Amino acid sequence: MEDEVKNNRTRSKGLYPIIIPDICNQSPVAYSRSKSLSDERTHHPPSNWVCPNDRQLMLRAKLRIGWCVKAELYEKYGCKPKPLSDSEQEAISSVIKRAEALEKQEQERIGRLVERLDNMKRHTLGSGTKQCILCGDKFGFLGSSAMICYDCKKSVCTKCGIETTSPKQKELIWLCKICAETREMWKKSGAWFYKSMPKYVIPPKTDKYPNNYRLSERDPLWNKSQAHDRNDDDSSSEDDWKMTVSTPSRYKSNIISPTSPGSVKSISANSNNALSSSPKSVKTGISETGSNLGKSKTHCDRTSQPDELFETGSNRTLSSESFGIVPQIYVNYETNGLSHYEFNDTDKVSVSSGPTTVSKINEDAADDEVSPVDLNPKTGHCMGTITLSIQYDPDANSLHIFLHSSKGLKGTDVNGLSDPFCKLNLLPVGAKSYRLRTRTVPKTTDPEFNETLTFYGITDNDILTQSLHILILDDDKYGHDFLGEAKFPLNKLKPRITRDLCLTLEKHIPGDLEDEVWGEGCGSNGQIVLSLSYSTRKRALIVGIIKCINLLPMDSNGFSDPFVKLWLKSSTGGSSPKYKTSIQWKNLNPVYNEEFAINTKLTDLSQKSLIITVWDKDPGRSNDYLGCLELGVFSKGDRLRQWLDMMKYPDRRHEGTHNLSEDPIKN
Amino acid sequence: MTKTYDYLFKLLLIGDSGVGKTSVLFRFSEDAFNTTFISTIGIDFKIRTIEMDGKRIKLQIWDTAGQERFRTITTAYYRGAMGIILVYDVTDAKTFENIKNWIRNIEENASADVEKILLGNKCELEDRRQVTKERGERLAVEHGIKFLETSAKTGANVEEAFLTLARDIKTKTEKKLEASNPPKGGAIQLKSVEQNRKPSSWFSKCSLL
Repeated sequence: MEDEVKNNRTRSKGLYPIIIPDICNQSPVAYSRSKSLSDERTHHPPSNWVCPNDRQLMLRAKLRIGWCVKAELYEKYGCKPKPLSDSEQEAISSVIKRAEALEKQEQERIGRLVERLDNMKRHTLGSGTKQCILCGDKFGFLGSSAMICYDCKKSVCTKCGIETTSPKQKELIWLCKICAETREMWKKSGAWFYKSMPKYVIPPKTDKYPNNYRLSERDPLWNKSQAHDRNDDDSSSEDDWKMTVSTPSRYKSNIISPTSPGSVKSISANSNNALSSSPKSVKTGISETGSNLGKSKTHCDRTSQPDELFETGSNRTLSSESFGIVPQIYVNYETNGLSHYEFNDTDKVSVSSGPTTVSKINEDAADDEVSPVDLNPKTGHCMGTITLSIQYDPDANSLHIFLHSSKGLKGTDVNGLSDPFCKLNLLPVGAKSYRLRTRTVPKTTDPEFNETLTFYGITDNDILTQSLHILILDDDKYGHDFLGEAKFPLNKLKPRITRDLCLTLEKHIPGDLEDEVWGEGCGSNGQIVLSLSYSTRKRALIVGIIKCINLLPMDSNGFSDPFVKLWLKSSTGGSSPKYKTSIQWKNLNPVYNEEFAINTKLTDLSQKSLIITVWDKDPGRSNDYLGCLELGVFSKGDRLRQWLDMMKYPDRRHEGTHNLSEDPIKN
Repeated sequence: MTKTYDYLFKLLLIGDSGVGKTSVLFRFSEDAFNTTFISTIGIDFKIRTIEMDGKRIKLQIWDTAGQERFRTITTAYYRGAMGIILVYDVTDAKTFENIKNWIRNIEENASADVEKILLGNKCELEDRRQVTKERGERLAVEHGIKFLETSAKTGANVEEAFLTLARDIKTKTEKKLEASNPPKGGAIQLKSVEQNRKPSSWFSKCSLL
């Protein structure tokens, strides 16, 4: 039958069908051919390709089923194409997974390039006309001479510019370092090829605090010299490497670059659906192929998530023993995965209980999705880990949770430390939900909790349906920063058997019922939006009070008449004069947009903190207190970040939204 | 230890089934050779980082199945490829004739900027040769692409082939940049963006400019 088809087609030799991959992708199975390999080699294409006539094309356009003529061919002659077998699908999807992991790494790399360029841009000081755009040096007799950047047409001094040859016009041109870096980024990111910046993820900035901020060394010149330093190293490799190490959270966003062949994923997914036969399990598929080749691997049980990146330092990377077939992925995973485990520092898993339970646990771990070994490669080395033991006692209807310790938490204050505590809850919230918390362990990122918390009134049904959520938070009176969340489905528990766990922390994603579930809703006292900037010209801190949100109603009319008061407090005692905004009558979301200049030296700001209080004006009586906020190097989280940004990048406006605290600040 | 790289080039190997695409790649990535023929399932890729002019270039080389039944999958990978390596078998004239079709396939599916190179593989099998080197060269000139005869078995020219392609792509990056001059990276323009930017919160996923 097929030969007949071919003979029919020989007349239209040399013509090609128009294949639009995206459309064809929708059902690759339909187009795959049932040819044996030898067949393939002897009768090859030309005769198989035809161009449909105009009428067919028109009809097809209406049908929106794509242009592949072979679809029609099959319908006509009723020959069903052989679908991809399960092991083939498995092989392809695992390759795609590997590619995605690589893509993720690439996006992070590009993210770092973008961030680097952003940083450079933030350092710019001059206007680009009479001053050097980068360092702000004035041009003139005594100053440096001005060059015009070829790309942005701004003036740049010879120190901040780069002389380069334009490859096309073969002439010398000047580029400012920003434009040079932009060009470099355009090249390095592959944007030159895709004609736009590919997708990227910005590495989280918070982790750089501990390394990069040394407050005592700061002076107005700092900015400039820093800009130079950063510009001088031409290749970002070293820089990037450092960041790779400290970058804790590998975002799990599934961004796929527009040009990457990510669409293929849908192929395999679709073909999975299209097949009515029950797909074999991953393991069987692999062991089959493995044994065929005579190199079946022992680590097959770990293969369900080969989505980590495999790269070693040597030039030769990846798949050392592989040869273009299934088992390679697992080989890689095995050899390179190990280093990850070490790095993750999570080898101490479930060992501490008695010998009988240990074997039980290991058994469980083999099929558990959540078991520590499985979890780590998925989430990366990001938010830290927590070790705990859980025991369900059905006789007392209680669930005992012994929290041992946590490791590798994020630092929130200027020393890179946090004041962590745990909040525990069973989710989804049932009728008798209540949350528990541990005490706060101050000034550490590796807290030892050593505390037992017990949920009472837990039934077998609860065990089946609920899961334990552990939230690690940073204790701060202006709202708790999330340090991570761990989850554990309780149905993995066996009654009366203590289960030791080491869970990897993930990012906490606030849900709809955040306030109800965790009691961590955003500021019950309202929030304030303010901007900070240090003006080197005025030698003053410019505080912009922009607005307040959701203030407490204090008056009988259900509103307040809020105004904001602010001053700079020095840690050595003494404070600046106090400043007040106007009063916004009967308003819980007042908009001020007022700016205040507080004279101070930039270097002194590390010793000072800005105190902001919000009051309800009550004419004739004492004013009601609505909330306060303190910003300084002793703040934490976002507050610290805004303060440090303000000091690090003077003459820039840094805006932030912060919760107000109800505890009054002592003068 | 992972070391970062300066460029990521995505390359693609295409050609008829059995011409030795996987073997060429295996030679390049592992410097080894395997005589048993195992047909590639759909797609696969390997990575090798090379150094060129002091820059580290990570090559992600996609190996495709030559078999027709995987065509839809493999075609999807054309568009992302910065360089395409066309491979035929010098001992099989059919595979050489099919190169024309593969080139057409590229024209239809790949990016217009893609760099190409033509490889006549298995050149160590002189006694079974069906396609002369001259024919290969002529075809390459016709299509304005570079040509090399390689042998995955002996390793002849394999390294050169990949390095040539990588160099061509690298040269292109510079040319492209000059021609389109896309980075309108004016600091002024970006300053305003900066100012509007709120300090991102601890948990914001990413900020796209």
